[in-house]
Amino acid sequence: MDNENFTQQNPDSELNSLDGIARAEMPPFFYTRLQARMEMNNPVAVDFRIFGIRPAFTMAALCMLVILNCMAIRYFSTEKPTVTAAESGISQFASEYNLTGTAAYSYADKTDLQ
Amino acid sequence: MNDQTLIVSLQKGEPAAFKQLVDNWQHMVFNTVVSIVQDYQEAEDVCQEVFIQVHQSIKNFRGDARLSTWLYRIAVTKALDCERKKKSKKRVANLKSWIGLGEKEPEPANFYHPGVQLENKEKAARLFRAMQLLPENQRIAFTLIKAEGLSYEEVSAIMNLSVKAIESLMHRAKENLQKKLKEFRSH
Repeated sequence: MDNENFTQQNPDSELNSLDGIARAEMPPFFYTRLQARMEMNNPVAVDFRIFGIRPAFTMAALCMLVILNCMAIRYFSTEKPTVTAAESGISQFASEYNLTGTAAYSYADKTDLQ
Repeated sequence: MNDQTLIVSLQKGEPAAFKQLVDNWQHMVFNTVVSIVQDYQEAEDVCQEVFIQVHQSIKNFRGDARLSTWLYRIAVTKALDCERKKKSKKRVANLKSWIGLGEKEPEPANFYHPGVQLENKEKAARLFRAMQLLPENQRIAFTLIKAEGLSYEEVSAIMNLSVKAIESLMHRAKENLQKKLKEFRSH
């Protein structure tokens, strides 16, 4: 009550209550917390290199491998069967002397009918 | 390391220089900010933003002002940003409570500055409450002079105003504070 009376009689006493104020001090370990926040804002880039090769080069090599594999699969799936020299020679001999299967049957049918 | 050497080292990005900057100025920044935002946890968050801003902007620092002046400017700007956000949040909460969508935000507890002398604690708490109601420029001038103990010349450099303008701001701040304190006493 005395304090309030004093304040009412001396309104400047409140205005002057900050006289002689000491500086408020930052709580301890502020720098540690600041660093943690800065690292959270700017995370350090992780090194994605494999065997020392940059990821871009690794990806390019993998893409090349996939493309080559696709090309090989497509090539081998549409390939015509190859005929050996011996097989082509036999086929030619057989066709010259009418020795193919159907040719023999057609000759036999004609003689029976006569 | 003097300010000039420190600035050069900071601009080179030397981590040791940044640590020294923080060690040298953290208490000054904290005292300025806590006197404005009047909350310890918020003040520390704002101080982190201040030093992050310094770290990002030091390359643009031209040296046309003292390092301390520049730091005070950033600290005051960040503290005022925090205050504006709080006021905006309070307005939204009050509007919601008015239309029945929520509770009104409770008045914050009195702020007791740790550096105030014991016999002045209660009076200083009422004064800090009244300071929250001042216009921004008056509040900054009063805070820097009374809570930081700066001279009118130093405050005029920080606020980029003439000394006369600072004197006028202080005069009006004191008038407004006396009115507010009288209202508090009458309630």
